[in-house]
Amino acid sequence: MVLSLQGDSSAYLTLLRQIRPYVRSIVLRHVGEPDKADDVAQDVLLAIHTAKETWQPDLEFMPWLHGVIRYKTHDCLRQLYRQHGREVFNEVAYETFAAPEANTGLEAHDMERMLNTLTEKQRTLLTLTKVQGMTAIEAGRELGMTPVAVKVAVHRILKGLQAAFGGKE
Amino acid sequence: MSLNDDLFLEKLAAEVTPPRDSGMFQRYITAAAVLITVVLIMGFAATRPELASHFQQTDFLLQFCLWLGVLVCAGICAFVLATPRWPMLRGVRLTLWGSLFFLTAFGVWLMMNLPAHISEQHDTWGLACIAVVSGIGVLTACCITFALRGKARSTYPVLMGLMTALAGAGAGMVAVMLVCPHEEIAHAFVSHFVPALVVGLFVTLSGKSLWRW
Repeated sequence: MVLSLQGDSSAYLTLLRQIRPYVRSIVLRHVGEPDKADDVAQDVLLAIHTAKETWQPDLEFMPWLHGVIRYKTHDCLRQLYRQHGREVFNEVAYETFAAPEANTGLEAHDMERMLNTLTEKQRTLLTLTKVQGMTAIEAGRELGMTPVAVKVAVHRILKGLQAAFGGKE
Repeated sequence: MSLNDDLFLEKLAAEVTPPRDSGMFQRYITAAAVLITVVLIMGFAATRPELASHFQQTDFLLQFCLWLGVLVCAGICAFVLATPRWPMLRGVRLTLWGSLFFLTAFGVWLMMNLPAHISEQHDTWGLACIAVVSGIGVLTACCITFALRGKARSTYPVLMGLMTALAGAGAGMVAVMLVCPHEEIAHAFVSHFVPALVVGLFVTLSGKSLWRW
């Protein structure tokens, strides 16, 4: 470290390589997750790099290193606790099946149920604009409506569906 | 070690340069000298009447020494806490407990004397005193922050903020005792102690973001 502070990059590289496994083992003991421990260990090495000027050669190196490790580990743990406190991992929400029909079946059923509540004209309008992807001008030409009337009608239909089923657009 | 880690370490090593200056101690001494000069100038410019006789009063001397103790202990503690270190040095603990002891002693003295004076009608509000305490408190906090700029990588940023705040409060209280002619304890509580607490709280809370790294 003394040589590193004098600008010796090879000595600094040797120091970083030597302390990295030690830093990682301490971080892993606190954090528990190997992936996270790698990230935090890298953060610690970066912190050592940015804060190396605070170390004074007449003081011991290890308490200084432990100070940096402790700060960064606590920072990570604080972030993890905050994240765990606010977010819930819902396995079912991310569940996918091998057959594509199995993944879309529920959505298709919901869509059919919603479309059944609409009139024939409304259903056609929504299918043309939202399913087939036509523009307001094209759909208007098809149904004999002005583009503005199409936009207003689609907006009202979607708003009605949202009010009825409580979901997002 | 993976290839990415190796590359990362090599990049860090390639960037290493000798530090530009390591005069943290000199900067700290300069900041302390500036602060002492300001307090002395203030003391000479607007000294309270019969200051010398006040120093012979036990209560005044006790208050003065307690706040001087808070200032010195908290200032040293903040300076040492600026460097990452774990476990904490024994000397730091001593200054930490020392400053808290002096503060508590003042609090106890104040609480013992305040009830007897609270019923009496006094000019408790003194805007000049509030300005002196707050001004010197903030100046002290700024001086310490200036002295430790670029160096403060404390493992305990909140504690460091608290110690900086206590040093600021100590300097403010010492300064105001030199210039304020009021003797009443109610005045000392409302116009000296409460502003010092408010400034201290503000500096402590800002310490977390000021010395974050």
